[in-house]
Amino acid sequence: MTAAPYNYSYIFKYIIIGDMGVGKSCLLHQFTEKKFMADCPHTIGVEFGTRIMEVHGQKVKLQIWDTAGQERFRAVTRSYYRGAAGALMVYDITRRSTYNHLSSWLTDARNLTNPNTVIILIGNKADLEAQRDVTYEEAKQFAEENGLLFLEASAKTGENVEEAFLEAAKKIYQNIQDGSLDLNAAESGVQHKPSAPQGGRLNADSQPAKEGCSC
Amino acid sequence: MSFFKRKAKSKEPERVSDAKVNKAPVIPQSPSQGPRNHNAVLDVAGPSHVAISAISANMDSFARGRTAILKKQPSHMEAAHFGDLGHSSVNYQPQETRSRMSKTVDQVLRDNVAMPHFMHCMEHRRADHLVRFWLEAESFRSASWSRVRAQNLNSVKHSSLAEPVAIPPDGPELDQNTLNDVALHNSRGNPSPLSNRRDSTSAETDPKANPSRAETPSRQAPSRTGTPCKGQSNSTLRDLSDTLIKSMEKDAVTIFTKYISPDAVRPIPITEQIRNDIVAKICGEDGMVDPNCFVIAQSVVFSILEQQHFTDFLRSHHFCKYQIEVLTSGSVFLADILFCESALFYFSEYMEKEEAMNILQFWLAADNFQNQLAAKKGQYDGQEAQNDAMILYDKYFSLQATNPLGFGDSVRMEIESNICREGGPLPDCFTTPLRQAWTTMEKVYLPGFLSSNLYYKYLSDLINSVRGDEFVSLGTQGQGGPADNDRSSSNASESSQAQGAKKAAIKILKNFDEAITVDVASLDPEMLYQRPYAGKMTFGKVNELGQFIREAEPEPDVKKSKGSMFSQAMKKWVQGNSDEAQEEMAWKIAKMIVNDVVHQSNHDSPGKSTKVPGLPQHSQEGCV
Repeated sequence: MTAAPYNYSYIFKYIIIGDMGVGKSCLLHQFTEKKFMADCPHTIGVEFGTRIMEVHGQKVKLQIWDTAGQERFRAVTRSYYRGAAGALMVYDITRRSTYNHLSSWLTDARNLTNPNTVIILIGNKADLEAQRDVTYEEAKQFAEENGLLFLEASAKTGENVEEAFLEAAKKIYQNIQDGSLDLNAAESGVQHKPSAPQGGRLNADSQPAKEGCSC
Repeated sequence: MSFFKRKAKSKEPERVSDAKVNKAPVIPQSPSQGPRNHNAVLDVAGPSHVAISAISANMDSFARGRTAILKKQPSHMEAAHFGDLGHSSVNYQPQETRSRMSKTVDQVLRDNVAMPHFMHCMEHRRADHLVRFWLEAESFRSASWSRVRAQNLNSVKHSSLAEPVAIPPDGPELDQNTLNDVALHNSRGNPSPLSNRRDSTSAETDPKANPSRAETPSRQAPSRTGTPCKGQSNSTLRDLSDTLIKSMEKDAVTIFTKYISPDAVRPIPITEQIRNDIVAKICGEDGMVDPNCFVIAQSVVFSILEQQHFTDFLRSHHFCKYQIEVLTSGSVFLADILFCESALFYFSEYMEKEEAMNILQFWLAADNFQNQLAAKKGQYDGQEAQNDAMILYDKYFSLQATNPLGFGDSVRMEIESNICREGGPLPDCFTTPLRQAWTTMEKVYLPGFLSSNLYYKYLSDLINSVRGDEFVSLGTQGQGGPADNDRSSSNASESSQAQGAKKAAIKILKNFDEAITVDVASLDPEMLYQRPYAGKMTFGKVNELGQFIREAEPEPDVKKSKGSMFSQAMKKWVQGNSDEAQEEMAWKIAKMIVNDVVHQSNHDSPGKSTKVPGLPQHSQEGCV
């Protein structure tokens, strides 16, 4: 996992959803470790990854929940949808069935997340152009009709992986700025740290508070 | 130089504390630093039974080669990490398998703590009559069934009273007394709670009476004496059943008039067909009220609550108030955190800071695996389940695990046998490590989380949610009663105004954030430490007497003001004060030296010829 110092202003909660085998875990791994896992076992229930990135000059930590795509895990993974600030809905451009199931995933996402959740559609495996089964224009239109962001990416080559997470984060940050996302709500999927960079760990943080209490 | 020394001394305690802080995370790291062996690569593709056997053999060989290391490291890690909890006989039964923070409609309706908040929310939405109807109908149904059971018990009692009478007639020949008893028995055994049956019974009695009268005309008197007893029994039973029936009927009519009748002040939205069905069940042909007469209406209301109102309740400040009530009750359990998504959001952040995310990850994955397997109730693909279990095993338990948790050999072997069971693993194959992970999180990490800044931030967010929503509610209430004629347009206007109020509230909250920022910045130790340093850069000057005067005269006041707020600043102020004292003493010493010099110069002047006039004056003064 990322061992960066705890020097960030916001924490955004993300969920990654989509059919099995579309590359959700590989996208997460490429984003957090900048490496591609060729032999990736399928996800059991839910996995967890974090990384800090910069959005409009602010350091933001992304807390990413990678869910299992198998139908048998769908009931148990739904419980992690709530309170997500961003959702990455992934399909495989070489398998049309994964694109056809997006309506079902979108319905789940709409019903189980906040109205302000930013949903971005990701067409993964963009490097396999020869086996393309879903055109860019078709998916772009689907995204526009449903009010989603859209990008094609490749977890294998790393193309647009960073941009996908960053695009959603920018949208979330914009919603915070224009007031449509109440970042003080516990269910918003955003934690705000309105403090100067802290050099110490949790124990060091508690000392100033204690001194304050002793006043 | 003294300034530098002081600075160094003040820095040393911080370094010591930093060292202590740095030592603390070492302990949580131990499980993640378990043995790693990348030489062997397991076949990630679905392993067959043969592959599993090969894997087991392979593991055995590795185990032999690493016996000494494993014997040391696992026991050490378990001792340091789990204490004796890893081997305790406590059953893995979480106090609750659901969080009190995440509720369903059914749970809220039966929870005395959550119900008031839900009622308040529904009152704001002007739909509280739905909840009230559901509660009253549920009470009616329970009470009705209780009454029906009571009525049945009374019937049984009455029947048992008739039992002894049947015993006396023994012989074939009956004397007059025996004949009288038989008559009483007949009269008492016949009555029943149903009026229809009473009529048939009375019809049956007549033919029996006729033969007896024909045979024994002289015995008419004894028959008549039996009639009063019969009448009394019937009236008593009739009174009891009538009371119960009237009570049920009265309650049913009250609920009907209040919520279901077309003339009700606030009728619940049900179809005419359902209403007619309820009427038929209340005014049944047999005169009995059906205890389940409101069940269909209850299910309709339940659906409306669940689909139209409950989601908004979960996002309202009423639910936040309930959550705050639970979280500040002083008895928060791990189940309240792990089964609540918003609390898990903060807890996972805490676990990552403690570098113990592997434990939480394992617990989540294994719990999800066991839950989906148990949900199938035995009707699942054993091979598929085994593949899933092997993925978890390879990640957390294998000797080549990518995220080893440091479980001992006994646990690993138990899991191996559970996974390789004939017919596939059972839904409880990871129960032992799940229990250990749960206990570790509960005993080691939950107390720290509940006293951490993240937890207070979580509570602060909930409180801010309450404030924000209350602003919105006040804005909504200010509109007054909307027109009932056209609901759609009024709803649209309400929503637009609510959004405006929400934006205003958010702006206010942003101002709060800025204020908080200022306060937090002023509390930053580094900034506090830097301020006195700037003051000491000022230079001083030397006056004509050689006294060194510093230009930073206001400095003591600044130190005093800071000292009253922070202990560190107070220490600095004390040190500064002592420094000034030393300076004053030095100045006094210098003054004495100057006086001595002046004195000596006056004494030497008489000896010189140039100052002869001065000498006589001095000597004269001496004479006087």
